[in-house]
Amino acid sequence: MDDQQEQTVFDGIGIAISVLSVLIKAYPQFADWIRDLIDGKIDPISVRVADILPEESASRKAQHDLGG
Amino acid sequence: MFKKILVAGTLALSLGAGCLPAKNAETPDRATARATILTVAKAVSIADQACATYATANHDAATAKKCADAYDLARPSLVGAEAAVDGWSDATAGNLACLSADAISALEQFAGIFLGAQLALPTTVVDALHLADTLHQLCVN
Repeated sequence: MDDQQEQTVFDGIGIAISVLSVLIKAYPQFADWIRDLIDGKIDPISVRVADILPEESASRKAQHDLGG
Repeated sequence: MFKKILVAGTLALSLGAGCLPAKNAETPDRATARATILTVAKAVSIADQACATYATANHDAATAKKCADAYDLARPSLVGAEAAVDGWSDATAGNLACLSADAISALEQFAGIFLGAQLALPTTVVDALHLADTLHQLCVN
């Protein structure tokens, strides 16, 4: 990697950090997601949709409980 | 502006993925697709729980049914999109937005139900709707 390429990478990282900083302030949920990802609490490969969304929804259960 | 946010998000997820053990390494495109699907799934889950809480508190079975129907539309769509990411190919990358189309539609239904019930939309759902809007445009284009 020559000096110019290194400078480009360095500039890119600087811009990315600036944009991320704005993003994290504007979107608290996104900040939480990134924090958990970096802390290793979220493993995007081992977490499955079925773990997040069970077959029966809370709304369907509420509907049945309400006799609907 | 949102494109910048999306690019930054992609980068952040890639950086985050880079911090994970090597066994979890996926290409940035694939990791981003997976994270997008999980983010939309999380939004659907939060919307579903908020809706159930509202419906129970207000003895509103009709709203509970509307939310449950939206959920039942979203879940298979997201499970299908996840399966497509598991068997990742260039075609998957191009079709991810369309594979998630029903889930995006379900999120919009949730937003409509919340608006009708004069409920505040959870922030996770708002974030996911922004993401969904971009995905929807990618599918249409």
